[in-house]
Amino acid sequence: MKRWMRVAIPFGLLTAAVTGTLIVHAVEQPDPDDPEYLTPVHVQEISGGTLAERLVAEGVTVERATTTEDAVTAVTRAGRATLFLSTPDLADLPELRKLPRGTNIVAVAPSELTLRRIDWPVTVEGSHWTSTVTDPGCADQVATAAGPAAVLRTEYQADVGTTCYAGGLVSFSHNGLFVTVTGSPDPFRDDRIAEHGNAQLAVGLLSRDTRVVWLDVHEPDITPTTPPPTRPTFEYTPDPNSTDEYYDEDYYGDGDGGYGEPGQGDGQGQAEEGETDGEGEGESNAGGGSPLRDDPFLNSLPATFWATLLLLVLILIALAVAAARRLGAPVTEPLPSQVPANETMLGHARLYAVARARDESMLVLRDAARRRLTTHLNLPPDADTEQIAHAAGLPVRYVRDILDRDPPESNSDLVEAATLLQGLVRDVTGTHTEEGDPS
Amino acid sequence: MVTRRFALLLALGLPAPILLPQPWLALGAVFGFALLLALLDAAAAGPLTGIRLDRAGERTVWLGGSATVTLAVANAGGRTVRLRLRDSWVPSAGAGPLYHRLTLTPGAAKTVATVLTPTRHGDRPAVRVTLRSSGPLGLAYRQRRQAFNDKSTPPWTLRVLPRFPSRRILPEKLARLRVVDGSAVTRGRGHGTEFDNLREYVIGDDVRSIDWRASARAHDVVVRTWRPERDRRVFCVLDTGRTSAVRIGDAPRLDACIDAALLLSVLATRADDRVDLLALDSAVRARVEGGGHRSKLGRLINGMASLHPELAETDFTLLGQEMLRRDRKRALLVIFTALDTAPMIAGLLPILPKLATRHKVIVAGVRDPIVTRLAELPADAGATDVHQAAAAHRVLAERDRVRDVLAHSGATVVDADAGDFAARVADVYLLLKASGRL
Repeated sequence: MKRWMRVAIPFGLLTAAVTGTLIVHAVEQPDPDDPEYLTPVHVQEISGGTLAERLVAEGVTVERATTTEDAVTAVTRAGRATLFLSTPDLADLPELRKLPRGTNIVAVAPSELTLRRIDWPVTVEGSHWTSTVTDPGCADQVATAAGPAAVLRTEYQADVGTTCYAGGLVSFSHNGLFVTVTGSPDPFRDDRIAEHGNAQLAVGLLSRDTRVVWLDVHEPDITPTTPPPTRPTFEYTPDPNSTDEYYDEDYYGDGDGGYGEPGQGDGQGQAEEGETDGEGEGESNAGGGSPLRDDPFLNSLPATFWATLLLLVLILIALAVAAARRLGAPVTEPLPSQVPANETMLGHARLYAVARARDESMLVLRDAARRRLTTHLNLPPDADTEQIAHAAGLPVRYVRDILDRDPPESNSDLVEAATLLQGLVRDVTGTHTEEGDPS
Repeated sequence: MVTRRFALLLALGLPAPILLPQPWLALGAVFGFALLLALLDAAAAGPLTGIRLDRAGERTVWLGGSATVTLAVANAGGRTVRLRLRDSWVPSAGAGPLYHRLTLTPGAAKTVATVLTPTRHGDRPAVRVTLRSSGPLGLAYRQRRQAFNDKSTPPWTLRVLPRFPSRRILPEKLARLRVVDGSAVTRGRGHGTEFDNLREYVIGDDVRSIDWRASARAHDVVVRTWRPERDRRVFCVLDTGRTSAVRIGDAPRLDACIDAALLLSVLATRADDRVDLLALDSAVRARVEGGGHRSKLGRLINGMASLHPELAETDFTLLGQEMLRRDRKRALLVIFTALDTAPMIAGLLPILPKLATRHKVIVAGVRDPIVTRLAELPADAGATDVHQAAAAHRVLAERDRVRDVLAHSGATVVDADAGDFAARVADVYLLLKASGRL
């Protein structure tokens, strides 16, 4: 094994293990772009059909809207209603300013970018590797009635309103709207709704009114008629330090930064933000500045792990350094040729065999036999078969059958003819091996 | 530079970040402690500048044998040196053991032995002795640059003499030589051409040997005695070109040529002929001529030992220039080469008539025994065997043509398998010697 491989293999295995874990985790996350994600029309793993059925059973009317504009229209059309934003990162947020005062909004795991864009008084405090079950820890009636629920994945912090489930559920009033932000989609998903108090919590949040408008969008819902930088039309004024970037590049851009990767909306979006802010990969404490800081997997690892890992790296480096210096460089010398003298001859033989050159081989053997016979019998080199037969004292017909035989039709004919030829030469010359006599 | 023990020391500190409340502090403490120990260990290692090396041992060995070369290591410094050294030779020297460990107190000297079993003939040099001084804890060591080790390495070269398997048939050939020699003295004219001396006639002597003038002067019948020619020149020409590089069995063709040339040289030296050597390919690689009769054989063996095949086409015009420039006397010119068609026709044949007019030329080519073996069909032959036999006969036919062409140009051609090649060359020499045609 080469020296560099001794170092590369352990590091490579470690990198592959970490990368593989991250990839599997990312693949396993529900994708807001997936049409099945929290949709009320299907009952599947990541859909919200079960929740819709339970709401209907509770006497709540569920209206599905596929655009933000339609959802707002549906809410304002008749009486009070709760607007359920299953994918707030994909919604056309400026439309929400048209909502009537007193409307309930339930938003599922909005990202830091979305929160800042809509200017809700909530910030993302951190993320967990998976959804965590916690106790309500607050006096909210719905939460208290539901009990422990798996709603803590993205952790929020709000200066106003009520914070439950250790930051997994935040309720507050803003511009006359009553907003509830949940940190995980698990309580609303078909495959998780039956666990813990998920069902009671989800139903309780959405049954505050007799009508729920369910915004079911799975691609960026941008109003095409809205002109580009029209910030003055916004009712809520975003952060002056960052609004231009979010508004121009992220929101109305190509969507790469604004909506992030499926299931990784927070981290990816904030990573983009960090780069545009020029913070790079530093140890910035600003919210969403460093990808490492926001990586839930890395955040969950203790300092002991990192210290031990670093010591392991140092050990590997020490081993590499110890093995790096040789006790004397390798000594080289030119090697002798390894070509056998009979290489060309055997190559010819293989060519004859592959080409089934029976005639050619037989011709060579007959010429050689004639040459040996004429030499042995002191005949001229061009002596014919009769002369050879007379000189050897053999029947002409017998010698002719061997020396002037028809070309072989098959391999067995070839072997037979060659064997007869060799026998004739041995009989006449009385030798078994060819000798090279000096002339 | 640190050793693996340093990494082991770090590994022993692995539990520290886990067990102690401050993992980063524990990490720093473990690494700092190990680094400090390593630095102290490196500082305590003995200096390499005080080490003195010297070699002794055998200078020559026959291929197939073993030689021992010793390396004396002395510590001229003022501190103890825990030394690890590597005595590097070229791989074909078959040196071992390569690594040695020594602890030398100030002023002490120790000797390490390296046994060499070479795999090829020629000069096998000692390349480098690399020194490494370790600290008392074995955590760190000192090692100087390669240039320092090159400078402190004592030069040594083991000359590996070529294999001489024909030594076993040497007594038989010498016996035949003695017969030729002795018969010439006793039987007189016809078996020798060189005048020896005069003696009185005895009954049975050939009357044609009577020297009438000497008889008149001596008042008695005096006859001349003859002996085989002596002091004839035998010129061994070894072709070290690309055709000599191919392998016959497990050795290059050149080895078989050297074996035959050695046998011929010994025979000719014993027969009081002068043997010279010329090795050439695209240039003259070795030339052994002149010098004392007794030391000649050793010089010839030494000259042949340094030869190795070059992957270059042999330029036989060099041979013509050498022979026409140097040789004013007739000589037996034995060219050890390969009877391949192209090199012979394009290389040797143009100059062969000129050489043959001034010298007796023998062209000796080694044949691969496999060719002869494959030319004969085995008992249970198949189609593949027939095709191989055809290919072998094709090769033999080409060699026969080359042999005829060379013979037509005045050369005597020896074309034999590697096993009896040397014997066949010696036989031709003895035949020429006995018939007085040198």
